[in-house]
Amino acid sequence: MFKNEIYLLAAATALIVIILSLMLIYLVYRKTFEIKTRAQIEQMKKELEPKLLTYVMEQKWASALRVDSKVKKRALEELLSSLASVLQGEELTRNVARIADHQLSGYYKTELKSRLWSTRMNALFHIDIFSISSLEKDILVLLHSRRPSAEERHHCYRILASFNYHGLIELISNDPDGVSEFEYRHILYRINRNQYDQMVLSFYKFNDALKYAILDCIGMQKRLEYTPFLESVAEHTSGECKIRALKALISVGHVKDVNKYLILSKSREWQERMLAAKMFGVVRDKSLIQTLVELMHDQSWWVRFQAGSSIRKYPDGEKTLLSIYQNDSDPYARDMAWEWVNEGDGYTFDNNGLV
Amino acid sequence: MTTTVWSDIAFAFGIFITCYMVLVISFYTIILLISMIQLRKEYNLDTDLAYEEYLHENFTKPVSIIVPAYNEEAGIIPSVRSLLTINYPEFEVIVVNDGSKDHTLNKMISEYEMKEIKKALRVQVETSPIRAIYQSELLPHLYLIDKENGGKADALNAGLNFSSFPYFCSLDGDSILERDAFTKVMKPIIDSNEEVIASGGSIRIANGCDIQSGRILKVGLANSPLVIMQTIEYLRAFLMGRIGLSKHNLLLIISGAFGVFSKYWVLEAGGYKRDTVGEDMELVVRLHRILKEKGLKKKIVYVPDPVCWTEVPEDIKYLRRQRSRWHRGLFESLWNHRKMIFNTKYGSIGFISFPYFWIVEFFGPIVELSGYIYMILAIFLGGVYLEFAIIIFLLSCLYGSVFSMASVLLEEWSLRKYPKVSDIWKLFLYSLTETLWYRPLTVFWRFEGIIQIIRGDVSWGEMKRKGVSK
Repeated sequence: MFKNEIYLLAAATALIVIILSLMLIYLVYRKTFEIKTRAQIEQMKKELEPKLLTYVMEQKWASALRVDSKVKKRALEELLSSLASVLQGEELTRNVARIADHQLSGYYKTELKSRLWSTRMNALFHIDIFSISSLEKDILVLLHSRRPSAEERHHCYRILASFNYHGLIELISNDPDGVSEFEYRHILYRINRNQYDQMVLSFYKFNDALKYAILDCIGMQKRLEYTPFLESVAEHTSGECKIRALKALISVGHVKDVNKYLILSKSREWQERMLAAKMFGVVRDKSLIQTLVELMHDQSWWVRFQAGSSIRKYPDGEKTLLSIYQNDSDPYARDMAWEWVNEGDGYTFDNNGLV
Repeated sequence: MTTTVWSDIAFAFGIFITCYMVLVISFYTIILLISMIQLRKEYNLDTDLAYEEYLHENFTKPVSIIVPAYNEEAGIIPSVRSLLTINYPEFEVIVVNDGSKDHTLNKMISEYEMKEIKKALRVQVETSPIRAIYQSELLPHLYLIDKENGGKADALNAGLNFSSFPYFCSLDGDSILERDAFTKVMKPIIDSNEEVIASGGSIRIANGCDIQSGRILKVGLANSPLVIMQTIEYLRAFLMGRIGLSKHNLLLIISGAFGVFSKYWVLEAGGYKRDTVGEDMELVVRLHRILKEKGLKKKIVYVPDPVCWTEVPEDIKYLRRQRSRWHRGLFESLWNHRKMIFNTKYGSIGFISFPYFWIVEFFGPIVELSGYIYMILAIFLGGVYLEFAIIIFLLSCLYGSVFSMASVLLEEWSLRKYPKVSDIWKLFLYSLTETLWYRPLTVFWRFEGIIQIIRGDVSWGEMKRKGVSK
């Protein structure tokens, strides 16, 4: 009754198994070939390493360093990658960049045009770590030619930031799909003073993600010169922008007049009260202790926690905490004081924990 | 008359099994195609370079690693040591001693010079009473919570209450992590600007690998056929199944062995559920549920790169217990959230994930087992039944062996973790035999799980571990 169906199914199964077996043979062949190539690359690395080191340290060129095969390209690329991650000093880094530029940039130029996403990405990674600025144009071509993936675009932006490309701000603020705040941070982390100034000047024109990233980066890099800018943002904005500006100020560790921020300890937002507590711990002005003690009675756990942590940072902090623990009528404040009296410095607290 | 009725039933049953299998095979084929495209995209990508920038603390989020331990004196010390060497800018390790009856607590205290600390715990999820909290004098980011026994979920909740970072990872005591496991798993969370609230990694089998002091030195394949079959099964489940499901946010499982969750959302969902065999799946289902109920566009994803290596049972006795337990866990999660199925409120989770897990994963063993019985009976009945039996057999070859073979090839085509050519041959040839012996065995064990559910059996079943680290 089902004879035909059975034959058909059996034939299909057999065919699939045969196709899979053929694929297996191909993959096994490929693996054997790659194991062999890997061995050649390792051998080549051994030969090139001393010559490359001599070049990077003393700038003595050896003709053996000229890349004339794929194996040599891979060997040199791997050696340079590991060198780039350990080398310090401008001249040595420049030497790495120079040889990468001379010997490898041609390959990367072609790879940037590859149809394979992973090949293009690998090329971008290498251009980045070797700082091959001569490929700036090719990166821009990649950005504009077809529709590159988000990963590619983001990595291009990072590289262009390292190259101090003048049109960067326009590129990143007008990205077709929008850039995440985290990605903005990666990019901004690399820009120079001039670009920063431009960013700060156009601050209010940007989207929120970029605004937050600018504030975060100033804080992370502790750029003291932008304190007035941060103070102005904290004063003239509200919500998340204000909170980020305050966080950045705390991490820069300097404010002109701390009394301006006393009002924050009375804010309706617990995040702002908590940041006030944190700031008063950084500034360590004796007149603030009383406010911190008041914050120990706050209804939010995080505010009490931060107030306790800040009090502890004062020279007599432990005494103050002990007195709260022994004499205060508020059990929550006592609990928190008890924790900070006992805590020691082993405890880490992170702003990000506030989500 | 009776004979006709019986033959009609047998005929209808044959058609039913055939249709079922065709349906499942089509579903798997779609998933396989999605996975292929996804995996191929990252083929040969230099992942070391891709993750390099994520190792800067300004660009990551700190993670609390919670390790529940119940009678783990044999493995806890190397396990924690391996954790302390991971490559991640900021993390804390919280070992929760869940009222162990052995020397887990004392061993931890003496090995890491733990000292009791006073701490006001912020109780966000209720747990069994905490006896004491310790901090290591050598490593300030290592903590130990000693509490009364309350089960794994309870221990994880205690760890959650104590943890101070926005993301946490639950980890089984016997897992070996890749050094960059956290960077890989956190990447989607960070890249998505926290739209991703949980991220799980691929789990691979540690048996057969060369592991020393908690580090994988060389990936290898075990000799035991049972372990090789499990290796294939894991490849199939992770490479094929989860990539496909994750792509469309349909993932209902993040393995208990390794996954990172956003603490905020887990607490919002009420923490881990006590008294369940599969607390990991239950949590993921609950997270999906609250996300859909709140109408949020958050995601739960899976990273195909292997990040965690775990020991699997080599003994048939323990494997059998494990499988029936897993099946009970699956049932509990599906049953507890049964109102999600075909409920428009839960979108694709209700219309694709839930039906898939019910029909393919849960009822699969019943259908397959009846298929096997049908095939045996057909040998005696002959005629059209035998023809059906042959069709069912061929379909089950496609269903079992062919997809497994394809997964092995997928691994070699994309991730290529096995260094030896002979390993690939071995995996391929073994997967060819899956339908003949291993598949029926697992079907039977999972069926036993269903029987245990009906009987109301809630035992966990003791697991014996040899320890994979030298």
